[in-house]
Amino acid sequence: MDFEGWGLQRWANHFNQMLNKANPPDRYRFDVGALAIETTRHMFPGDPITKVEEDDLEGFAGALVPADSRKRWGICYGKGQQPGRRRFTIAHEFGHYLLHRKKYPNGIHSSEAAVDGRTKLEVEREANEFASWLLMPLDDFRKQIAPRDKPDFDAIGSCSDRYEVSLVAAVLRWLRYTERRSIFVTSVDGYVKWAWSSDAAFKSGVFIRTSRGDPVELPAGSAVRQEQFTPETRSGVDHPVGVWFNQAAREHSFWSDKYETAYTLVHLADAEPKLWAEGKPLEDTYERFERGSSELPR
Amino acid sequence: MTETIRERIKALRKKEKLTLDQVAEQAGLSKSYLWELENRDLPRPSAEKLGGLARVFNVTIDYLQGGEQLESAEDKAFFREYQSMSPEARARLRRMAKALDE
Repeated sequence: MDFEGWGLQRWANHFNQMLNKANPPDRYRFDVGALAIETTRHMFPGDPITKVEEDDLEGFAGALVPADSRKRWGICYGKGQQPGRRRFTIAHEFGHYLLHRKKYPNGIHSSEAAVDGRTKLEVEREANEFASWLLMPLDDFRKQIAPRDKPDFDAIGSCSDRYEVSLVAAVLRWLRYTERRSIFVTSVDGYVKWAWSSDAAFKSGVFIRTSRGDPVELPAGSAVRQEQFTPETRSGVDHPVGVWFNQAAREHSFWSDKYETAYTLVHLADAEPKLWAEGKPLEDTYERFERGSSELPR
Repeated sequence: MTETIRERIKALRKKEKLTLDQVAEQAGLSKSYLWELENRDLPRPSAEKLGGLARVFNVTIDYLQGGEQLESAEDKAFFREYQSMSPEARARLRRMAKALDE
């Protein structure tokens, strides 16, 4: 088989079909490192991945390391990552191996920011997409949360358990296929760190630009701005017009001590259909980045 | 682990139990700029701006800077990422590269 020129989706599908066939007991919580080692030995005998190891990388999530001989590769992941984050990091580095190792023969080091998707570097984005597709296959995910659902953090959290990925990774995966107008916002001390909109939200002008310009303050009337982190706000509070994007909204917010970040999910009603909505070319993900909505997981 | 300027400033503010508003006012900075200093990789801020913060926390400007050159997130390339990795972490990756051939 010639794997030359395979894109990230093709790679992810390839492994998912393989896993579906083998159907191991923990189908969706498989050992990513073992998969990388087992499969590359057969596919790329000239330069397989032979080691996946933990080490203290001091703020770096992971790295793809070539042997001095250039005949083998290793994946190194940083200490202290939660299991879900760790799997994503390993999958991310595996993506670099499959997609980028010819271009970067000296290896790749991924900072924390690069693996949680706030980066604009194309190769990092591709590695993140590959990891998402590999760990959270769309056909199965859609069975857990239907495209018309308005999930709360518990519903998405049960998906992050199912696929053993971080909550943020699961939220971003869901946002990519949902038909709802929803936006995910991460914040600290009253300002937005980064945010990501579903397609339907984005098309209707609901997004928060954080890559350029001054920091964006959280809306004054929101629960997250007032730091009301109660079980009630986590399971959802309804706001009238004038709090979020000047529309009626349902807000879910909670505070993560571990990441010192507030996580907020906002659901809006469906947009009024516009008669002229046809014919406007849609932005691709990259252009969308350039506009400054923010990006992908852990 | 080398602390970045972001971590330094945030840690000092938390230690003194001060809000963004309080520190910004005392240091003569805008609140949103202080938030950016704590949460974004800004190109090296001016000594003048850091001077105000150093006064508030009663530390040197050198200490605030954490002894680390920060790049802007936009123009980070891998080799630069590698350079910003601590020497210890780099040495660990080199050891791994060697061990792969054994």
